[in-house]
Amino acid sequence: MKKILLFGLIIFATSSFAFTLNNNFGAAFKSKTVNVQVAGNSNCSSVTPEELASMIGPAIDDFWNRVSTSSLRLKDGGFSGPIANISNGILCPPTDSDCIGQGTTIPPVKGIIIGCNTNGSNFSSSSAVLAVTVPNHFSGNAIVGAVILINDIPGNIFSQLSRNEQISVIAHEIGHAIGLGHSKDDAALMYYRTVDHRERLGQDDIDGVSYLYPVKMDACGLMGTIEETKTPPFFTTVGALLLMILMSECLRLFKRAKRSATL
Amino acid sequence: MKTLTFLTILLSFSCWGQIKGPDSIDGWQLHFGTHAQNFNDVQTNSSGQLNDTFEFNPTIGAGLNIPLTTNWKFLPEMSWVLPKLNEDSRIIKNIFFFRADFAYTLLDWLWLRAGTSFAILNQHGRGGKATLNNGNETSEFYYPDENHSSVNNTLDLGVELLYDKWSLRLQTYTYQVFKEESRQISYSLFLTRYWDL
Repeated sequence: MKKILLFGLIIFATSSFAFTLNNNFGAAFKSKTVNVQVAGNSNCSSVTPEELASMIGPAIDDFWNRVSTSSLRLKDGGFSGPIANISNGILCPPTDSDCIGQGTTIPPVKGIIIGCNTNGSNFSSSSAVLAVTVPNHFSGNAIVGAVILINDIPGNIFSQLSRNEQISVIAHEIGHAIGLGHSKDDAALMYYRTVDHRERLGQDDIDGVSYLYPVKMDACGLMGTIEETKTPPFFTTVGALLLMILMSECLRLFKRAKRSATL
Repeated sequence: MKTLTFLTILLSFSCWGQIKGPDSIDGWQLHFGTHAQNFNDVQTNSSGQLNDTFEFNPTIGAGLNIPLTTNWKFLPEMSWVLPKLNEDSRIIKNIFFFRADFAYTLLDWLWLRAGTSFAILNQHGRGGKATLNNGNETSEFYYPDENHSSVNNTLDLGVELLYDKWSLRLQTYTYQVFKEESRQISYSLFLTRYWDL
């Protein structure tokens, strides 16, 4: 019994973190191809609109588009048309009537729109907040559009970051735009603050985007798609193992019977 | 349902092997080992280190051994990468491989394998909330509360060294073979015990 417990501890008692979602209903883009664009009328004090647009490619290709178990493909869309109030409006979730009532708001968008913004209420009046992201357009539980605002109030920290760090910040905010929340793991891109070196996604990021945007391969047309279920994986596993054992046992018996017949 | 369908296909292959003759099925096997997902493509700390070293993720599985010709074998298998759990775990992650490999007997003690797997990444969320840092304050974030599976078809290559009824195997899985931008490679190391039927 002690050996079994020890074996169980070795196998299972390993630490693990977990990704989170930024809402309680698992919202995600319905389309698997999502455009990421810089607002055509965005003016930034720290980077030119062209520099900002040039960061989209690395932010999606070095991070989110690399995940083989995710069906989401982000597309560098360059510049969008002008977005009203992008530079100084308030960014509100569509259901937050208190926020919407505060003043001029940024309208619902399609896809992911990036812009620089000087309205302090978006950043808790802090120059230390690098950026904020709010999905501000839903259809049912599906995200239709999200806005990423780079903090452009005087003294902001974003302007002091290196280009690679700025790309990481944009990639992090894209993570929020596609439905992910923060992770406790500092190896994850969705960790709440920037880290010294950001090369790739962490395991939590990969798990999160794979959860929200699973690949549904149809195996050369042999099978249909996987449906979301509430069936605990334990029963799926036990069922599959039992089937495997049953299969093996059937074959053994079949072989015995055939041998008997040939004797 | 997909799992059951695939097992049915494996069973059909096995039965086909059986029908070929009374000695068509050599035996079955159990394997135990470790699995590395997305090798060298996952950041493991805040200094930019990638998962390019050995990692221990216990994996177990079983399979059949069906000779097709003198040198070729068909080896249907299932493997399960055990979930990592602790008391705070809000998401249970399982990885299953339902594999159809063909092995070529290069030498008595050396098999080369090639085949394909359905690699199923299954994540079961238990729900709940977490209060985490967010900028210069904290916010509530949400753990998933559904069961989602991502199913990939992988290209598998492997090499297996045999000694008596035991073997050591390196098995690789290439995800998204035809999409260069998201192609990733995972691998397993297995110790296998074979039994005759």
